This record gives sequence, structure tokens and C-alpha cells, in this order.
Amino acid sequence: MGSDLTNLTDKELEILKVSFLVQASEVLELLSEEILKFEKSPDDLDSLKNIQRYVHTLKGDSASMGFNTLSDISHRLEDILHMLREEKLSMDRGIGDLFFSFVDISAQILTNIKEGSANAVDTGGLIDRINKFISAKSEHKAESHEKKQEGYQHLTEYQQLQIETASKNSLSVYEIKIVFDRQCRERAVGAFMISNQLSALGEVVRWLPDIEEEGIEEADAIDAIFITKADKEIIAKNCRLAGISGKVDINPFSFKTPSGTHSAPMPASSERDKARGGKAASHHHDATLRVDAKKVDKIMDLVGELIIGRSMLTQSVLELKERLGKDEAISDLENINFLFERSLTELQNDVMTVRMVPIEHVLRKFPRVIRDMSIEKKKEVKLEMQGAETELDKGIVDVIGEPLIHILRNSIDHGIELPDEREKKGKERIGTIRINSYHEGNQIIIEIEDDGKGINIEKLRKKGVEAGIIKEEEAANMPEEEAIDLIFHSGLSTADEVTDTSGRGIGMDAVKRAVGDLKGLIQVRTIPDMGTKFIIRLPLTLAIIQGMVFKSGERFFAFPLSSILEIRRVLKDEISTINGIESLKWRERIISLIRLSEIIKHDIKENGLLRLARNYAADLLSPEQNKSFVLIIGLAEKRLGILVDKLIGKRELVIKAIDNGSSIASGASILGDGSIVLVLDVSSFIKRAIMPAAGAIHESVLH
Amino acid sequence: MEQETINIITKKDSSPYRFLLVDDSEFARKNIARIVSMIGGVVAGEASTGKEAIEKYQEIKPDVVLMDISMPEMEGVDAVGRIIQEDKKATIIMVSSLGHKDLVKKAISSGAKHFITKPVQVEYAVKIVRSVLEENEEKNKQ
Amino acid sequence: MNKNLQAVGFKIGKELFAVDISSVKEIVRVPEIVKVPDTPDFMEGVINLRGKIVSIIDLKKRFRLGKADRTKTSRILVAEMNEKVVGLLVDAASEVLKLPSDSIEPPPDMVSGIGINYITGVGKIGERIIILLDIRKVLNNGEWQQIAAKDLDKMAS
Repeated sequence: MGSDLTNLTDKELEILKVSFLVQASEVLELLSEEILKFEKSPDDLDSLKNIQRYVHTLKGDSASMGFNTLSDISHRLEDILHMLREEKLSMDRGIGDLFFSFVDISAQILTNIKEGSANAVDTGGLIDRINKFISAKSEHKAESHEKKQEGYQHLTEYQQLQIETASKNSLSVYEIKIVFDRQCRERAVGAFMISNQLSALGEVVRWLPDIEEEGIEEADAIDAIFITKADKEIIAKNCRLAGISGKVDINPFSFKTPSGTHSAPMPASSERDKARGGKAASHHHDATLRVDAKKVDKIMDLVGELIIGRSMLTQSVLELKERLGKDEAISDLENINFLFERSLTELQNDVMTVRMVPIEHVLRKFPRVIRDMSIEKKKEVKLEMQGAETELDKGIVDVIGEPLIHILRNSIDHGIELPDEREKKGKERIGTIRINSYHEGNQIIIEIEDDGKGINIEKLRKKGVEAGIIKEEEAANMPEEEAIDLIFHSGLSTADEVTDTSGRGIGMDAVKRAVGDLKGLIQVRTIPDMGTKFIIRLPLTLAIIQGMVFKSGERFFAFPLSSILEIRRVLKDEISTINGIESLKWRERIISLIRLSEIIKHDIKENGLLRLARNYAADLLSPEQNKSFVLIIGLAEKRLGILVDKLIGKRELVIKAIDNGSSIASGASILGDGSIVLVLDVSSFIKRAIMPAAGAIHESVLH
Repeated sequence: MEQETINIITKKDSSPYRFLLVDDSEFARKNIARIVSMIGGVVAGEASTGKEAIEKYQEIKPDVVLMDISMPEMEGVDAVGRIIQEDKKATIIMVSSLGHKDLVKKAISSGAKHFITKPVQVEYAVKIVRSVLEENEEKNKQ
Repeated sequence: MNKNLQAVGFKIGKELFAVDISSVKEIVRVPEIVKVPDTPDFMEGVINLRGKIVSIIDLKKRFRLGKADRTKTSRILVAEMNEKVVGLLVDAASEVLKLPSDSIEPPPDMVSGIGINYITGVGKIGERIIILLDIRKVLNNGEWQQIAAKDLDKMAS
């Protein structure tokens, strides 16, 4: 690839650009993370090396794409990094801020590139600041080559002797740096071929990294000390192998490298780090393939159709068997079908794992948010993360990020107290936010917990009344669990004044909506002065869900398993009619019950679910039906019970969007016998239940 | 549009280079045949084992052999050795899957000129085939 | 100018309609239709078409010509509209018709209450008048798509 972009078609260039943008933003994220780490432990040399590597990668990649602004500022930042490495500078908040300005400006540049914006990003301020740091500290620039020399102390005595003897025998000693062609895979073989070529001309004293080692595949360049009679031009020619080597640099070797030839020691040493450390961030692309998410979705769709087809086949085989009894052809068919099932299940799992990404992609941004906000709010906060490697569907990761960040901001802004206040309460000055993610069945659970002051429920009640959301007597009687739910109501904030943070972006109501859209559930637990915990449950993937299938009337329905809190058997006696609505006592609260079979016969738009529920309740308490199943569904702190006629059970459902305007049934799936199951959307379902059109029925009946 | 076509490369007398494709997978051979045609070459023969490759080589004397590394009956590496033994000027380019680096190294030590890794990326493969042919051309001049 | 227009003819009530053959993928008998709650009344529901779920529109209701009776002759025209596959429930469907293009006239101002937008022309087969529909426009106005969204927005705020 190199800088040879002129031969590419527009399309190729565009593809390159996209992959550059993706990689560069990944590197920026990693960089942010590493800066935070380094800020915390400035003595961690590995951390600094990583930062150097990321910045170097950014510099190289942007330069080869011709994005000079970015490569220039990266280059300037490398100077600072170099000084840190040489201990001419020490890490402090000033430098931390400088690093983050770099990250921000780079991100801005990437955005502009992405959007094709012609606006130049002003990097002048950043460069001035970098210059200030450098001019303040750089008296001894001449010493900067010491490092290089140190590098050569790795030569064994024998190697040093080889070089010395060669010089005496008037042979030339060169240092050759060969950058690999980006597309070269099997670099070990490539290096082997170069080494063969060189061996014909002289003797390689040592290779860095060792071309026999595994790490060679990760290296983007190799470095040789070479003794030869041949002249530079011939060496260069022999080092240039199509598809293997890119840029070749040949310089006379000397133990004390004269200035000029090695004026950029940093790349060389970072190359060494790579070889030693093994993993190089910039080489992820060698083993991974970037695929348009739409393509994966398409495959997922097809797999879904195959699965449906196969389950229909099973059904037919069963029917055939019933009709024809034992028959060889049928048992063959059964076996084939069984094989199908196995490969299909495997295929489905594989395709699903392609879509799975660690939640870390979202969590990466958190340390930065905490850093910035704790400075802004003058609070001290530390972050503890667990289970960042937990994987979930990319589609969900893309959507859940912002809501999580909002909760995090909320926790710092409203949860964690000021250090002095914490001290007075006998707490540590530093507040802790703990994020824990883990799988539970087919769900992922994300918990965000702070050890702050907790949510003041009394205040919430008051606010709720003031805002006209609830009446005073309701507020007084409302159980705590329910009152907490008020935080998800738009326009309610427990902070005494609306702060910059809580006023920005989305509110808690939007958080609830986003979680609901993902067919998930959000819950809050709070204890005064101990802290608040948000628990978010999400399905692992959106394309295939675990659903609870049931029959109501003659129709099949399903709710996502993740939104069902409990499935209960109820006796007729347990159901009482309150306000004309069938209700059930459940965990110390009264919940309204709904029968789908009745409701879907009518136009819920005009009537509202609950009014319908009231109208039909009386007829439905038929004497012969004295027990039934109830699914308790929930969204945030709202609960609703669904009375079902027949419980079919848990099924994996391949969801097909049905785009015909229904808000409560956003998707459907096909069962093995070909029947259609309507998959109900809990959040809109509950919204429908409480819709104002229900008129006489006030929201409060929906406990 | 012009940029998308890859320049055709021919012998001095402007006749096309003749290729022998050796791979036990027909699909892989088809794929490689595409690359051959992109640089204006012709597929003079195909073989699916190392043994067959040696026989075919004798028979058709191709300009270039594109040889898979692992095949039934006789491994590509051994075939390389045998072909080179017979014809020191044979131009063989290995086509290998990732992870066979020791075999590829062996093939190169036996005289193969270069290697391409599977899955074959067209532009990359063309680049390599072209460079090998150009080098041959240069050597012939000298 | 004696080109023939190939069209699929169908009946809604007593009226004869036709749509360009390229917009119809297939014609199927009416399988079980599952009503989806909370949709506009002309959305009949969904069917399982060989593993694909296809939404069904009752064209008679859509054109406010009454309600389709399910009879032996009822059919579903499976059409691809705006990259979506949709089924149109009609009272009967015919073979492919060949309409000489010179027999097609621009639509009159008003045809049986059907929005003028959907009509591309009026043709004649013998004595019978046949109304040519632009199937894409039947849904293009997309009112039904917006209904639900609007309602929900109202509630969410």
C-alpha cells in the first residue's frame, strides 16, 4: 500500500479510507485507555510504550493515507512521548490533558474525514502547547541518541567481534531496515527469502526481530546488521521482493550512531518492543476480516429461513410417520433431517458469534467520562470493571452505549458525594463506581453501582406530585419500589438544580425507552447513603430471541423471555376485580391482568388495553376455568400480568420484522408446524396499557 | 475504468505466457485461472497431484507453474524438487494456505521462485506473478 | 405504437383492476391469515409464505369499497413494493392480460372513490373497463407506517 495511492480507483480508495477510519478510531480508544492507565501509574513503562506504539501507528497510517494534519500532530506528540521515555519530562495532569486534547482533536479530524467535511481542524493550539512543554525541558537534545546506542548493547560479544573484524578487513557493515509490504502474509517466509538473497551477498550478523521466531508475523519491519562487499544499490535490489518488502533503508552501521542517520530512534525501538511483546495493535487486520454488518444480517436472515424450513420439515416427517408407520425411506429422511438440524444449529451459532462483540467496546469510553466528570464536579471517583469481555450482539452494543453513559454520568453527578461530604459520613473520600457484566442464561446483565448517597425517595415523591405526575395521596401510598420508577419519568430530576450534566443529551426516560427497545429490562435498587444500583438485562441478540410462547384464544403469542419476570399458576380465587379490572396480588403489589385473546379482537387504539380488560373481565371469570397461567411482564418498575390460555413453552424464535404499523407486535416468528407467533413488544405493550385514551382509568391502576 | 484493468504481460515475441496450475481443488484452480487470464496468460495444463504435475510439466513445458503446497500422492514441495531437477530454469510459484511456512520455505530452498498465500488476493497475486516474470525476463537479457 | 402491456388482472367487488406484471411475484390461494393487533383496519394480518412472513393488505378496505369476502376465488397477489414483499388480498385474480397500449387512456377524474394517485390509466377489454393501478403507490403514501409511530411518540412524551 505505502504512499502509492495514485494507482487506486476511487472505490478502492474509499475502501481503504473506511478501513483506515475504523482502525484509527479503534487506536484512539485504546490510546485513551492507555493514557488513563499511565496517568494512574506514571512509572509503568509498558503503558508508555503502548502509548508510543499507538501514536506511532496513527502517524504511520494517516501519513500513508495522506492525512497530513493527523500525522503531523502525531509526530509532534511523539516528541513529548520521547521525552517522557527519556525521563526528561514526568507525567502529570498537564500532560494528561495535553494527551486528551490530542485524542479529541484527532477524533475531530477523523470525523471530518468521515463526513468529507472540508473544515480544517485547528491544531495550532495543541502544537503550541506541545512546543511549550518541549522548549521548557529540552536542554539536552544532543543526548537523545544514547537510547539508540543502548539498543546495540544487545549485540553479543561474538557479534560485536564479527563487526569489528569486518571493519578491519575493509568490508562494509550496514544496518538495513526493511518494511514489510502490508499485504504480505507469512512474513516468516518473506523474511526467509530476503535472508536467502542477502546470504548470497554477505553475512547477516543479526536480525531484529529474530526472523526464526513466531513474533515475526506481527512485525511490520525487520532490521539487519549486514556485512558485505556489495554496494548499497545491489543490497537494496536484493532486499526488494515484490509483495514482501516495501521501503528499504540502508545505512552504514556504527556503534556510535552519528546524528542524522538515525534521527528517529523512536520507530526503531517501538519495533523492537513489538517483536518482544508479541502483540501489535496495528496488526489486528492481518488475522481479522472486516465485514459490512449488513452482509452478516443478510446471512443471519437466510439462516433464520433455513431454520424455519427445517422445523417445518421435521413436522412433515412426523406426519408422514404417523400416516405411513415404519418405513425405511422415512427413517432415512429422519436421519437426514437430524444431520441438517445439527449443521444448522452450528451454522446459526457461528453466525451469531460473528455478530458478538465484547461489551468492552462500550465500556472503553467510561474511564474517560469518569475522568472528565470528576474533574468537572470536583469529585473523586474510581471505576471498577468486571466482565468487560462479556459478549453481546453488535446491534445491541451500538445502541446501549449512550444510555449506559447517561447512567454513569447520573451516578457521578447525583450519586457520588463531594469528598468532604463523604468523609463526614465516614466513607472513603474516593467514591467507587462498579460495573459488572455477565451472562445469565440467554441474557446479558449489566450492573452499574455507585456507593453514593442513594436516591432520596421522599424527594422523588414530592417532585412527582409537584410535576403533576401523581396525586398526593397516591404518592403517600406508593411503595418504594414503585416510587423509584419516577426517576424514569421525563422531566423529573432529583438534583436540586439542573446541572450541566443531567441537562445534556438523553434523560432517564430515554434510557428506559432504549432498554425497552432492545427488549430488555431496567431495574433500580437504592439504599440511602449506601448507594444506587442499576440493573439492565438484555437479550444477547436481537435476531433470535428466547421467547415464551403461549396461546390465547386460538392464536400464538410470545414475549421475549428477558422481559418476563415470573410465570405463575394462579387459582381463580386469587384473582380479584379492582375497578373492574382483574387483578392479582404479586410480591406485595397489586398488578392488573390482561387477556390477549379478547383484546386483539378490538381496536386498542381507541379503547386502550385496560378499558378493554375491564369490559371483558366479568365474562371471563368462567366457572370451569379455575386455574390459569399468568406471565408477569415488566418494564422498568411497571408490572403487568398476562393471563394465558395455554402455555406452550420456551422457544428460540427467529424474529422477522413485520412492518405494518403495529406497535405492540413488532415481529413474528414461525413455529415448527408453520403457525405464526406474534412476538409482542413489552415496552409498547405497557405504554398501550397506560395510554391516556383509556380515559377513566388512571395510570395508577397499573401498579 | 482503465485503472481497473491490469496490464497484460507477454513474452518478448508477444505470445502469452503458458501456465500449469497444480491444485487438488478444482475450485482453487478455477480461481487461479482467473488471475492467469487477468495478466493475459493462458492455462496450458492442469494437474491435481504432485505426480501428475511432473508428468504434465514434461509434456507441455509451461513457462510458469503455480503449485499448491499440500496435495495427495506427492506433496507440492517434492514435486518442486523433481521439476527443478529436470529443468533448472523452471519457474515455480507456490500457492499455500497460511500456516505452512516451513513447507514453503522448503519449496523455496528447492528452487521455487516465490509464494502466494490462500485465500488468494487477486491484485497481490498478480503483483507477485508479474514480478517473477519480469525478473526472468531480466535474467534472460543478461 | 402497438405494444402490448402485460398485466395481471384481478377483481375487487365488481370492479376489474390490473397491475403491471413486473410488480407481481406470484399469486397464491389465501392461507390462514393471522391478524396483528394494533394495525390499521386494512392490514389483514400476516401469512407464512414458505417460511417468510408477509403482511397482507385488504385492497377492498384500502380503497374503501367495503370488506373482502373470503371465497373460493379469493387470492393473494404477492407483490414487491419498495423493497418489501407485501400480499394484496383480492376477490379474484386472472391470467395474464395483454392490453394493447393504444387502448389505454389516462384516468378520469374520479373512479369509484379510489384515490386518483394510484391509477395510471383505464383500459378496455372488449366491453369491460379495466383500471390500471400503480402498485407501488398503493403503499407509497405510507400513511399506515406512520400511524403507530405518531401515537407512540405522543405517549412517550
